[in-house]
Amino acid sequence: MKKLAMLLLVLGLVGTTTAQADIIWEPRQDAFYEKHKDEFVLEQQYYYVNSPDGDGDFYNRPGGKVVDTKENGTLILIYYIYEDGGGTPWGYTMEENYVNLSQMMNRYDDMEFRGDHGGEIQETAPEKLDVVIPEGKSFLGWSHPGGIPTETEAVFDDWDLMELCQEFYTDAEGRIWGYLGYHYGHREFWVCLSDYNNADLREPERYTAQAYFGENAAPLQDKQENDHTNVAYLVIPVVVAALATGILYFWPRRKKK
Amino acid sequence: MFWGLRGRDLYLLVLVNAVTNPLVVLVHGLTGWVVGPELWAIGTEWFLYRTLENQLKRPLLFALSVNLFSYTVGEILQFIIY
Repeated sequence: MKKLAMLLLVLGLVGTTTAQADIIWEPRQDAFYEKHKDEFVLEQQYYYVNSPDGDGDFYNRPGGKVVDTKENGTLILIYYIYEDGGGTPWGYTMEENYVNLSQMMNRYDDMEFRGDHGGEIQETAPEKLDVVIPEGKSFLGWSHPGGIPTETEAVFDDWDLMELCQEFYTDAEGRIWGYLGYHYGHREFWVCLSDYNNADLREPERYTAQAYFGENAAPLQDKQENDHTNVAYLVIPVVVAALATGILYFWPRRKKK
Repeated sequence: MFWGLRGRDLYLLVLVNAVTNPLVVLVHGLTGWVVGPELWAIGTEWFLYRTLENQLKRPLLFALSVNLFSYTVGEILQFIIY
């Protein structure tokens, strides 16, 4: 009876976790989203703010009013992508604002890693390793081999990582990495089977485009051109208003009848 | 035109708006403010109409109506476009 109760409890918890992992977020109050809902494509990818200006602008709707500005290098989860009539892609964030994707850079992660190393990933392990994480103990899950590590905990029972991994990759140093698609609410991460708790395996971050931030930032070559645009944006209205004021100064007044 | 404006009055209307509109749009673009710039525009336009066009009836009401109309049309267009 006790065992049956435990089984039901575990099944209930697993069911809850699975449901939570599959929930798709939607904004609560966004008239633009409501109106164009069908044109939003689910993205759920992390992007860096990466604008030649040094900051990225976030709008209340595509091409609308700037409601927030974030410094280059800030990591943002782009939940949906919306393409406007002119073909400009806009990222939609969980802060319910929009950013022009030309000011963002997709973070190098599993998808890019597979593009670079797809042919080296195997479905069977090159050798058998004994990697069992006792229940309650933690290990490092990685976005991709050598990528961004996250502390992960073995829950409910001991985790035999060799058994749980579906794909394997051997890096240049001969370390074996395994890929877990899904396990107890943890989704899509890599684990270094040869050295499962070593954060030093992290490599310098790779970027999917020129980065305008960090140690190896590309020169802000577009900045000067952008400054010209900004100056014109300020000067033209002032000149028009000044000219109109000048004409009105000499405007012939009618005599009172 | 619905106010009975013709000829010279229409040129004045264009010029007065050429003074206020670019600055309202500029300040709104830089700060996001709406009410302050609009009130400034209404006040300025009222002053200019009163000073330069003494045949215009109720210049304050005219400036207020024109700006309210312009703001409403702008909002409707934005809603349609986006």
